[in-house]
Amino acid sequence: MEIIPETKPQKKNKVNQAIETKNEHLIGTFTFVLILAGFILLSWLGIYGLYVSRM
Amino acid sequence: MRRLSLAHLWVSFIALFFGAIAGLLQVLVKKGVLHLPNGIGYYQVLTAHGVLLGLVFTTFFIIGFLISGVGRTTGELSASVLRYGWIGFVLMTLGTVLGTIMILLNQATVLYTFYAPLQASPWFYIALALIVVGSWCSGLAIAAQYWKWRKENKGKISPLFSFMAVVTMLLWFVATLGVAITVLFQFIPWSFGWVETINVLLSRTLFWYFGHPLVYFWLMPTYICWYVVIPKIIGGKIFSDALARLAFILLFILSIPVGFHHQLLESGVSPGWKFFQVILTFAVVVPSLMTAFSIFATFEISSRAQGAGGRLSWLKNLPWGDARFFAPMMGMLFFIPAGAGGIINASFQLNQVVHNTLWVTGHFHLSVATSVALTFFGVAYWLVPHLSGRQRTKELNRLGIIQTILWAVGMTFMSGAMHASGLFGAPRRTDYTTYFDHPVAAGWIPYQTAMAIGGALLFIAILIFLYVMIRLAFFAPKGVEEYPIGEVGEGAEKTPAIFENWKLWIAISAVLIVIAYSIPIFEMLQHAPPGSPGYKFW
Amino acid sequence: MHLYKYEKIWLIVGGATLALFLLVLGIGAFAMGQHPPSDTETIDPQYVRETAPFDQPGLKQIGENEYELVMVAQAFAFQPADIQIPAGAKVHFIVTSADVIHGLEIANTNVNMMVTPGYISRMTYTFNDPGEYLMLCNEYCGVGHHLMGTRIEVAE
Repeated sequence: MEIIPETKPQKKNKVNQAIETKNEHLIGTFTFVLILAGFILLSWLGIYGLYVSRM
Repeated sequence: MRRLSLAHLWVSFIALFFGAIAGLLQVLVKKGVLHLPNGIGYYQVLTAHGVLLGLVFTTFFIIGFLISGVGRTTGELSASVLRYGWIGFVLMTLGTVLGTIMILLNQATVLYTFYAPLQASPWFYIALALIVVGSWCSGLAIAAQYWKWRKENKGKISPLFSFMAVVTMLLWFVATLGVAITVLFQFIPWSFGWVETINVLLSRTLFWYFGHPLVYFWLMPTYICWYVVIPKIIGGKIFSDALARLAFILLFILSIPVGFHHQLLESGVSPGWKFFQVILTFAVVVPSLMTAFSIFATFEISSRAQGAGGRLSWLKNLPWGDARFFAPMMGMLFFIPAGAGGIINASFQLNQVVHNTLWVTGHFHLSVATSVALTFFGVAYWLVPHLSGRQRTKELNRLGIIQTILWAVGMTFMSGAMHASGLFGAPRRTDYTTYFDHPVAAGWIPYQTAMAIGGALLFIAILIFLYVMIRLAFFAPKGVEEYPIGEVGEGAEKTPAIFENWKLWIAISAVLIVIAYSIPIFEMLQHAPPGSPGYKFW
Repeated sequence: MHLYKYEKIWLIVGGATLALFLLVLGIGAFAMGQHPPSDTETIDPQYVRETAPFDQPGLKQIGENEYELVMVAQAFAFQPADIQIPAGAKVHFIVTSADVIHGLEIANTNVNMMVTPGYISRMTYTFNDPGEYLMLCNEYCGVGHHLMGTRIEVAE
């Protein structure tokens, strides 16, 4: 049987599918990093507030 | 190769032991429950603590770890690579011994930053030079092995571990140029008396040119464990080889031209140049933000692939009972407040709230003494048995879990108390004092108690760790301990070859360093005051 | 190189937060004069006590509730020590070191600066709240470093 090489759009589709599946799978990571950003923001604002209160 | 790697780890652990004793003495003295015997000063102990833990424990562990991983991923180390490696080891060890002797003889009570015009014995500076030059030989060994692999595998992307190891040693080389220049051309001639005075600001600037990327020299091997080793341990795949390499390249370029954020409150540098380097400092936060995402994504994808669900409940599926995962994972979690604190420290005028207070000490005990240290411990739990031809047992693994928990609890007490008392003005690097019964100083005492409790727990944890190391190296059952190296996931795109265009990245790094430093240093030299003679206030 | 959607959003959020910090800091520092002490005036570190104004350290009134505080930091004391200031006073610190690097910190205030030999360090602070403040050296300067501190009394 002749082996038909994968065409470029077919290959791209496979990669795209893999990527699409992964997007949903990253909701936990996204939540985590947003919590991380929140921590950074709150702690920074805390020290900023301390600095301003001591001016 | 195994012996070379193990030799580095043993020096690292010996330094850890003595550095830890120093730390315990410090918290007990500061609590007021211990008086050091005549002949040992607090500041001597502090110098030893900083040098042994921040310089020797870290550098030796890193080189031992990197050499082992380069060997594992590129094949047997060639004879010349081994030779460079051993020369590096011998020079560094000689320097370590010489430096430690000078510290114990009270000839170098200048703390690990050795700021001028405090002047130590010239042999202390020579010891530092030996350590640095030795590490260059070690770096050469790693680079040479990498180059051998590239020649034999033309056109292929290098193994991720080895690529990252080369970036680490390249960073180290570029960074140490600064401290080498100040030690060789300023401190050594000045301490021998060949020149009368020293340009203090220049020496500080050259030191901090080195001092900031130093922490990335510690962070990069930590990230190597998180990016390359942990995915294998949890049964997952590396999230993205390309993004991992990008993060390392960005860390290399952006971590050097930022030293002024350690000099924010000093005279002689204009606020404009300080702020420019603050902007660059914030830029170097970005590859760490990328890393946070990549690492967590690896966990999530791996957990879900193994069937777990829920937004965050898949976290339960990770191998929490495996010390090889648990210790680095705790290191990652502690990196959250560590990084947040670092951003605050670099925030220009906000530095006035925290500079030289115990807050800073709290910060680096989270970052290097927890995120980096716990990750290194987590690596040691498999690396030491692997190199010694033995196997980790369930009992030793459990001790590793206990050690990690003790560390986390102890550090929460100690670093938490340091952060808080620092905000109330408690200074760092200071012996027990009440400042002549001043009420403000009295307010710091409860925090001192918490620090002593935390420090004691940490010391116990170190004893457990060292006990496990001895068991793993000499008494554990013979066998094969896996060297976990992760693989990239399917469907991942090809890594662009540009990442290994070393000339490009070195050029960009050089340009940034010149932009960030040349004018301020020129101005420092142009408008320099008369230099300072040496002082030995101990 | 492909970035997942969530990763793109994350990096934008992260980058924007950092940019916001820099904006706030930059405006405060350069438009409102809040930048950290960064004097460039120099002095010969071996002749500090012969060089004005450090030949006469002390508190000097220069205006209505405005003062100049000329200080010399030396191992292991600040000169002058035991300073008394009225509440609400605006104080201009002018400091140098006669020997090694010291740090001048007044606990629970924003007064915090390095005192590098060869350079003059300046900072202005208004003591709004009365009380007994602790001024200490926060840069290691030798065996007596932990004894280098003094009181600042801010009275009504």
